[in-house]
Parts: sequence; structure tokens; C-alpha cells
Amino acid sequence: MIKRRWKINGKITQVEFSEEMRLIDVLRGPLDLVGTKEGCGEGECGACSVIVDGTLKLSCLILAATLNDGTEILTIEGVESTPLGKRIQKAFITANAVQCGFCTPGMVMATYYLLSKVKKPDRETIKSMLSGNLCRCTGYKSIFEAVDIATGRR
Amino acid sequence: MEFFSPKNIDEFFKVRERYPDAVLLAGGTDLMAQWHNNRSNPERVISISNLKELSFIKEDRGIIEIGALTTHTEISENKLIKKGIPVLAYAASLIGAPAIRNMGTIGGNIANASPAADLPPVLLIYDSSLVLRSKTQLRELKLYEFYKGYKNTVIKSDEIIYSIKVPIPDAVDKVEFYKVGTRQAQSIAKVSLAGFLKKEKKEVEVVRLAAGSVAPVPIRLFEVEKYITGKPLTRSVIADACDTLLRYLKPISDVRSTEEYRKIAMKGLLLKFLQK
Repeated sequence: MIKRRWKINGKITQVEFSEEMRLIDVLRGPLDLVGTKEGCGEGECGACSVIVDGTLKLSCLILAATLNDGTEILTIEGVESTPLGKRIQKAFITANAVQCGFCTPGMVMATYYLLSKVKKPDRETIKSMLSGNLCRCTGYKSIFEAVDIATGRR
Repeated sequence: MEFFSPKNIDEFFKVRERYPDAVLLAGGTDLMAQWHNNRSNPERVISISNLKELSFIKEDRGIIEIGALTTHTEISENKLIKKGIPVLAYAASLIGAPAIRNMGTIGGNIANASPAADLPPVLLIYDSSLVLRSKTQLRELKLYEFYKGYKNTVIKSDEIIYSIKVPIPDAVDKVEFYKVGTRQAQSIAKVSLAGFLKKEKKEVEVVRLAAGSVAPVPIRLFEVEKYITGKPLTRSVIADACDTLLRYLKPISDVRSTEEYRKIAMKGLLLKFLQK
């Protein structure tokens, strides 16, 4: 077994897991943070996106043991407690950017990462930054609008 | 599964000595997907993510050296790389999508030895050298000497890829990278071509060409280069160069594309490069 102390959504958390577990397994298993979804399990769909030490990553491609003590992880559950996250959440509701909702946590995390790097991204930048997140319901239009709203442009 | 996470390179070599068969894990973008799909993990894994010595980009006397743990995002955004070897930054920016680029490393892209890897064709035409490090020594070899066969390289079990050295070409030299895939994001190349061209008046003085997804490993197209060198790029020379290319290419048909398509597409890419 591996023991780690991570800062998850702002809270220092002690966690124990087995060597072969991926970050997504630890989040959804022992940590009971089931907001993060597993889609493809091979890095194609972006549903499992989380922010690790300030960087957008895919929790299905991270061997949990590789994350040292002190690693900071932000998941969809923690987004609401940040000003930027709250703004994104509201924008997604306003733009009706959710249908089945499975891709939404990943979309929100990718948007959070984008807007923490670029204040007013243009449409091309938005498309490129969300290009790793698949949505099979919305056709993306409402999602791009949500990002526009979150930037305060609309 | 046994897991090791050495804190520095000395500690790494100690663990490595004890377990020469352990799998080295860097960004995880290939290996983690592979283990998941095969429903099996290796017996022993050594994570090299803590080896901070392997994460750097520096320039010295016209050569840019990139540490093996440098991520694709770092490569695509780095000022030295964008200025000196911009086509490498461009190729890195085409890999996967943002999260994948934040995780995948240049060392992994090389070590994995996939024929479809994006960076090796570009590194090959920049005439890059690979630095391999063992406990007691460093050895340097040309990248084209590194690949042996499908997913097979000359690296020894006591060695680790330390860095890759890329000479900065003259500003006037032509360098291009073309990738053909199903869509822009996340796509693995059906074929790719990288080219380097230096002319002396009308004649080709130096040409280097490299291709992805048309052979078991990323390859230099030496026969085509040899044919073009010293000649002016007339229509007939270009046509003959394309014939030479097709004689030596032996692509396969697989899930991403067919042999026929790959040959036609490669010929098209070479035409595009030589005519432009």
C-alpha cells in the first residue's frame, strides 16, 4: 500500500491506496469524489480532467503513487469554492451548456485551466484548449458560449 | 506491482541496478493507456518523475539541449526552441490536446519508439543526437542510430535517456513538418514528413528527410536524400525523388490507414516540401 498526504480541493487529506491504482481510481474510490468521470480510460475523451499543481491533467493516465506528498489537486468538487470556478459554473448554467452532463466536469476543469492562463481567449483559443474534451450531446456551441460568458464577454 | 520513486538520479541508478527489468514511467500518456487496455500492469515500475535533473532546456554554442523529462507544453512554449528550432515547437503543439501535452515528455516520445510518434521525424531532420546516461558514463549517438525495430531501441538496461541535443540551423534553411491525421486534436499520425533543405545557388547542398508511420520506426529517408543532393530541384528531379521514395517505403495497413493511402499521402507530402 501507498500512503500520501495531498492537498485536495484546499484540504490536506491523508489517503491510502494500492500501487496499481490510477488517480481516477483513488478519487472515485477511497476519496469518494465521484464528480470526476471516467470515459475512455485512455486519454482520448477528457472526462477525467483534473488540475494537478496548477496544470490540467488526465486522472486516468496518472499512476496515483507518482504524486508526492504535498501535491495539490483540484477536482470539480472544489471548483465552486473559487471565484473563477463559481463564474464558470454560473456561465455553464446560463448558456445551458449541459445535456447528459457526463463530459461537464472535464469541460469545466479545462475551462478553469484555460481562463487561469488566458484572461480573454478568442474562439480559436477556446476551441483549441477544449479540443481534448469530447461532448456527444451539445455540438459544443453552447459550451463555447458558456466560456465566452465566463470571460465576461457576453 | 512494486513501485519505486527515486528522488534523484544517483538513487535511480541504485534502484535500476537491482531491477534491470523494471519499466520506467515518465508522463504516462502511452504506458498508462496501454496497461489499462491490456488489463495488466508490469511487475515493477520505476517512476522517474522526481528526477528534476532531467527537466531542462538550455543553449550552448549553437546547440539546444532538452532534458528527457521536458513536456510537450514546455517545448511548444519555450523561447529558445521557438527561436532556434521552431518546427520542433510546432510539432509539439500538434500532439494530443492540452492535458496530454502537459503530461507527455520528449524522452518518452523517443523511448516509446512508436513509428507514429510526432517529435522523432522533426528531431531526425534537425540532425539531433541523443545523450544516454548510465551510472558511470554518458554516451552520445545520432537519433537515427537509436531505433532498431518496431518498439525496439539500442538503449541498455543500465541506461536512461538523459537529453537530446539539437543543432540550430541557419535562418535561411528550409525546415517543415507535415502531419496527416483524421482531425487536428488527439490524432495519431497516419503519415508524417519532416524536411530540412539547404541550397547552394540552385543546387541542393544538404537535404534531410524523415518520415513517421511508414516503417516500423521513425526513419530518415537516406536514399531520397542521396538522390536529391547536388541537383537543382527541377520538375524531373522532383518526380524521380518521389519514385525513389516509393521504391523504399514499405508502409503497412492498420487501424489508422492503408498501405496504399500512406504511399500516396507520403508522395504528396514530399512533392509539397520540394516544390514549395
